[in-house]
Amino acid sequence: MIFRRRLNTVTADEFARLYEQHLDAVFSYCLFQVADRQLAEDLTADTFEQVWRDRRRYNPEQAGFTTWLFAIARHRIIDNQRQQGRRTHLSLDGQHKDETPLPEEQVAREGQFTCLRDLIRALPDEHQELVALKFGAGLSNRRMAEILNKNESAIGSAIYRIMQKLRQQWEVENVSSHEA
Amino acid sequence: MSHHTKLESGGFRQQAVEEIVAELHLENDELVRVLVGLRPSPSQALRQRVRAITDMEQAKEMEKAGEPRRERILPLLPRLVLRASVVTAILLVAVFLLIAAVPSVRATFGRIMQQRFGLVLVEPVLETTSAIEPEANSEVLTEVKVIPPISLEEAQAQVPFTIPMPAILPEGFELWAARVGTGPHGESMDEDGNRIVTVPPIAVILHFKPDEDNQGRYHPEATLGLDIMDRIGLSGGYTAPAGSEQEVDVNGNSAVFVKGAWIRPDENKPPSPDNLIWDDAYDAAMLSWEANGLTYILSGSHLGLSQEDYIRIAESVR
Repeated sequence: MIFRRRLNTVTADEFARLYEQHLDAVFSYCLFQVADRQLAEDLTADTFEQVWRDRRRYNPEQAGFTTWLFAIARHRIIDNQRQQGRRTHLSLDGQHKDETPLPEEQVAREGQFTCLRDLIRALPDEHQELVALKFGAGLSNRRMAEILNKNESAIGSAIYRIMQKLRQQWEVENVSSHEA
Repeated sequence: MSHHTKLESGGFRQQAVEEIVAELHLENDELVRVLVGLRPSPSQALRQRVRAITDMEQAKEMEKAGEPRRERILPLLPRLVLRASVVTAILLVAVFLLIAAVPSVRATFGRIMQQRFGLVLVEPVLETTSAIEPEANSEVLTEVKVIPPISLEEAQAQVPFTIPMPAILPEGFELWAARVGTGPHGESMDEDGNRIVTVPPIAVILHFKPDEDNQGRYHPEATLGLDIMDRIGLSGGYTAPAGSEQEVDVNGNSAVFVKGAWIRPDENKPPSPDNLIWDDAYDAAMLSWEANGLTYILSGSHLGLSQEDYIRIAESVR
């Protein structure tokens, strides 16, 4: 008979607190990735369900909770994209569908959002994922490196290049739209 | 360090614009502001949906832990009669009272030879007299009131002592549920007609089962229980035939180990004095001892554990 030390257990209350802390980021990450608000909600809920189901497999010595959580969300998204047979792209369509009318200044920003959305759509898939993790989820480069199993400085460099590219295109687009 | 501390107790927070700008060494933050502005807010419906996950899952687990309920306890009784930890504290306490106080019930289990650490050692051969109605005995045996399973934290809040836990468990086992119970105050008369009021002990029953990843490696009914009563010198308790016990040692304290279980020769009949025999080859065992003012009964079934294994678990209880 083999014995091991008793597992510590994480209570439902502790998980509930963690959910509250991470919900916005996970949902934002999903929506940045899949472009569909309802699908993003489903993926977010699926992610947290899996986290709860697999909580005993989680080893805090191996990874931080945030890393583990986003790794699960990422796999959920990848699985969904495989099922869909194609990769969807960032979209703000419908983002405010169920919201009350936006304030005037936000309406003005919608033009910027729409422009940026198209620019991000044109990025390679892996760059879109970096944008989703960085700006959607709001993760640090270090956390992103853990999730993507890459070097932290490589992540920083990649995002810096993406930002340069986006800024150039965005400024061109902004100038064009203002001239128009 | 608590698990919660490991789980980033400082709290997770999405990076703000300033943090991103600093991290990426950017000179212009306007684009970052627009990108961060793209972050959507989850709907209230999603918040409720996610919040409900732990509630629902916890409820499911509690429901699972609550099994076997009354209808399932009855078929299990032949094998687990007065031994299994899944039978509630109420049953335990009721048995304490009934065995000691009611002659017919005492006769049901044979003459009490010895009582130690919450165990009642009876004559190996059950007495069955014409005065005992099998139906009545069945009624006694099935007088089970299921106490709902609760979390360890909830159990702790209900008892005046720190609930000890085993630090060692069979591989893949975890705490599945806890129960807290006590019986009604009992009244009886002794042979001289004196009124005896019995104050039942508070009992905590900890129920351990294989976790989801390890259920396949154990017998479906594999279970481990630890009953903890808030007093020593208990009379009454789980019954076993006198002679089945072995004197052992748990951390220097005298303890009693019993291997086997009551089984029902005729599976189609309810448990009764005519239909219960002790099977010492059955894969089940009890280990009982007293320490620090508490009485412990560690019981397991279908685990393939040796006597040394049970003692090792018992000695890890802190």
